Amino acid sequence: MDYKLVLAILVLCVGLGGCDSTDSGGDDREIVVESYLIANEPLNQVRLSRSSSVNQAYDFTASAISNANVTVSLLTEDGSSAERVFDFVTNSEEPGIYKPAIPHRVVPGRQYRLDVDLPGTLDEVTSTTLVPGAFELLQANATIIEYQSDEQLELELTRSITPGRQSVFVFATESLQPTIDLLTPFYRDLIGDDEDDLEDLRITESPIINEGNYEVNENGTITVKLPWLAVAFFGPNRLTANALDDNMFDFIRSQTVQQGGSTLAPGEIPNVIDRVEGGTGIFGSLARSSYEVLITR
Amino acid sequence: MPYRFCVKLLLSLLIGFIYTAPAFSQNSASLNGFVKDATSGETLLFANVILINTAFGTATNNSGYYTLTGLPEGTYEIVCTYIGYTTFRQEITLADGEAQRLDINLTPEGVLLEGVEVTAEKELEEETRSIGVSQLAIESVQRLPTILEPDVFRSLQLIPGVKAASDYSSGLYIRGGSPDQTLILLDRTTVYNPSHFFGFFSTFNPDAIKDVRLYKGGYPSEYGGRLGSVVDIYNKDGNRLETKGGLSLGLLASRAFVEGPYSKGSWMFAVRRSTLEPLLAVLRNQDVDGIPNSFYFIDINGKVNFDASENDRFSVAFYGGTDQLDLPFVDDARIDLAYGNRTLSTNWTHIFSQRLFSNFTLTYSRYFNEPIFQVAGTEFNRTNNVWDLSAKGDFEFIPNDIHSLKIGFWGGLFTFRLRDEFDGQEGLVERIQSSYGSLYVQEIYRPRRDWQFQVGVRLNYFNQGEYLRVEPRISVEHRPNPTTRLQLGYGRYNQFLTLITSELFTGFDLWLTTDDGVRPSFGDQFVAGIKTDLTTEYALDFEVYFRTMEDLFQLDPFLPDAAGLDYSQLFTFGEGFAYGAEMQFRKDEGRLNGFIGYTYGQTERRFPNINDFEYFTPKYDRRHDLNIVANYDLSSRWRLTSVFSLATGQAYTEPVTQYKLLDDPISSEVRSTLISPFNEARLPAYHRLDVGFSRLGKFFKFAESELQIQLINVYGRENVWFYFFEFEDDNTVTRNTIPQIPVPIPNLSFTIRF
Repeated sequence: MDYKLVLAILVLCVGLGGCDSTDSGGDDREIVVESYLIANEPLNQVRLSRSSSVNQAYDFTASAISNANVTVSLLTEDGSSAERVFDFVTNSEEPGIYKPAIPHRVVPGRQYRLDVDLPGTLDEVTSTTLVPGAFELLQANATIIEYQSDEQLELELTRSITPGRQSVFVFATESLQPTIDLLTPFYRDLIGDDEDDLEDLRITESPIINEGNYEVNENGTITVKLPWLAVAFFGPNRLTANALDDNMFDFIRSQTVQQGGSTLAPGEIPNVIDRVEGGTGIFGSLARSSYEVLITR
Repeated sequence: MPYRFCVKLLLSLLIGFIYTAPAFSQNSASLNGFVKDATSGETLLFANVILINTAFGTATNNSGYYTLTGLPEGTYEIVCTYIGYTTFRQEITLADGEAQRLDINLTPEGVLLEGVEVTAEKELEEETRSIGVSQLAIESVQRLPTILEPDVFRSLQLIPGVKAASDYSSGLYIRGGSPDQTLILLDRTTVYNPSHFFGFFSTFNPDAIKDVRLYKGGYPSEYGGRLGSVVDIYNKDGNRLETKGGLSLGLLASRAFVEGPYSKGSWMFAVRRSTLEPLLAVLRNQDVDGIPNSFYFIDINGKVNFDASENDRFSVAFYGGTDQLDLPFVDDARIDLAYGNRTLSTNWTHIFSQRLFSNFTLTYSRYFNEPIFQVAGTEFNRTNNVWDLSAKGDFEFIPNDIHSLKIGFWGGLFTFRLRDEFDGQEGLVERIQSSYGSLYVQEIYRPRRDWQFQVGVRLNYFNQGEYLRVEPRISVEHRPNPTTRLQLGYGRYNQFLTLITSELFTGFDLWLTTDDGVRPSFGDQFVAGIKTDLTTEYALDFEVYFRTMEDLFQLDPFLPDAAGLDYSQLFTFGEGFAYGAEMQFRKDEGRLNGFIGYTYGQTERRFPNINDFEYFTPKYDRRHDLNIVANYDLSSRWRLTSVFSLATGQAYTEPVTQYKLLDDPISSEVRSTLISPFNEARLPAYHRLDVGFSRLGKFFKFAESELQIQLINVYGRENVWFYFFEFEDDNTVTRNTIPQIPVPIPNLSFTIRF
């Protein structure tokens, strides 16, 4: 075989194959739901919209869906049928936002189902959540504590029960006085003098933390310790422990991965794990308990 | 089907072997010995040895030893060749039944006067053109233009079928496999994280290495433990004739080595250390942000040989390498990371007879990785250790020129430990200790000169989970004429380990093992090839492959916290396949030499929760990949080297739609979400040209010197590494381009050898 011919074949192959072949996929806009049930608290509103192109600025109002039939059902203990159905209604001043027609306090340990029906279309969206068992904060070791002192804030909590798995928590620290001069050194250096970012830091959340990180006390409670990393502001802070249902657990852990930091290669962006049939978004639930503490310098 | 066929075939060949071996071993003559470098006494691995105008020929083994048996009495011309060395020719006479020992000394080309004919005899290349095999000349590693420092793995990335993840990664992605699917051996010892500077370089110092062999796929039964391929690296033995040394000063690192003889053998020590401290000090004095307090790597290689007798050789080899980073970032935050490898191997080579060769090795390998993060008064630290103690033995029995039998074992104790601590509280603690063992038998059957069958079976046992696996392997080679080889191969492979790594940063690499509920991965490989010598100067190799990957297990990428979970819950399980074609057009000799390598490859995988469990293309997939390596001797002193690469852009995810969660009860930050077809888009095509000049000379009349001037990315191609999609305050999404090496980078080094 003539080696010049081999060279020519090689160059041709690569010349053809090396060209860009970009496939941006389709532009399917999905129905997006957003609602959270909080144990022992009133039913929250449901947001309903469609996803929008990444090539334009996101605007919830412009994407809102306002003509849907929205219900949330409290299911029977075995989850097979609806025990009570709560209608949700919207109004023209708040497009895409549906509020419960009658008040209801969310029952911990029970299943709820969201049903969305768009009249005149085949679109139906459903999602089910099992509300985590309620828990309470029994005691804390301090009400005032010095930042980065040896003694950390410790909270003793009763356990939240989720059938079939250990509890998973997200701890949120909410500053009750979020001003730039009260920022702790790490966060101050992080955002510089940009006060626009203060709102993002008003509530700082921990990553998802398994109950397995904590030792169970002899009385069956668990004691959690507040890491200093979670404190963005000196002054009054509210610490909230949130026990998540499966839907929130899956959504948060997968949404976090979209911005990197996992074992996926850079540039690989998986879709979220959403547990929503016929659409996407979140219909989740949680149980929570809070405590207020003063962080001094 | 191939599985049972291979086992049956092996049994029938072994039975044939038992019946034919005695008949051939009685009256025929044999010839055996070591092939060595005439200037240093260094043994040469996979050198070709043939008897001219006969059917007899072989290659030296991993110890540089050859055996030709079943020879009728008579006078022969023996020829020995090795790339970079002049051809050895000698007439020998063998009497009936004589067992003659002939150690061969080959002279390197460089020590000859100009005008002496240097011609490798293509038809003699035996092992290096076996199916799926590539051998890398260390001289080429040192000559190729490189980013700051010569690197073995970056040179391997130029071989067809081997891909690089990026300009910043020395990881080997071979025939659709991820880096953990390649077994890395240094002096027969497994190396678990062969990287420096968090993946930028491989750990292997080219001054200390004498041989690198890559089995891209369909590798033989004497190797095991990985689904894809094997990189088999050997340290130098050390000069057996005189004391020699070398010193190399580079922009990033400097190297030194010394080697020499003693009364009973030889020794070699080589050290390499990064030399960034002066640059870091200048930047620190100028108050540049983000300058580490400490950032270096160091590695040390050593080997001592003890030649106890003509038939017994002992050696002890060691390697130690560490990377250290201490990086403060923003106020009240710091990363302190140390990771590295330690290996130790002791080897005994014993020649029982002219027909029976053996090798025994004890190995120790340790990998450690201990990052500490301190952020705002909260500390997270991880301790990950792998210890691997093993013993292996190989026997090579060559009763005649028809049969060659290899039998061996490899057993050991693998210990893995992982401990996470967050804010003073212990989270995940895993310690797995597992014994493992394998036995193999491998028969090479040459019924005629133009046919060769290699059949083997390997039996693997991994105690953790009590997994027992059988792996048949077979390859067939037919030579319809002296310049053409037709090859076919099949093999079953198992893997009991998986690597948790990031393309961004290998400093946190974790190895995890199978266990109850975590089955070992396995796969089949089918390979076919044609190797031809177009002329005495040009060669063309062509191979196609198809491989499967089943029961792949990897750390769940969505796992936020492992505390309190069963071991099997840490993983997600998937599968994959890969196929492709590779072509290499080579010219090894002459003023202009080099090769053109082209690869068409496709690999796909699927895992739960990604792409709806449909097959997707991983980022490292590159459909078309072309590498051109050219060396040109401008004069006896000046040499020009260049590398050009052109490849299809890698797969990435281009988001299509977005939405935001506005009522999140946990966070005050809006949770922005993308919806995307997973990895269905392609980055722009990749291309880059590197050139280098080297000048040989004298350094104050007592040493040889080499000055290297190189330019990486000559025309400043801004290849894209990946896109990062950022949500802006005005609710738009911005695509930020993260480039690979975007500008021309010069490299300068000066080496003396004395």
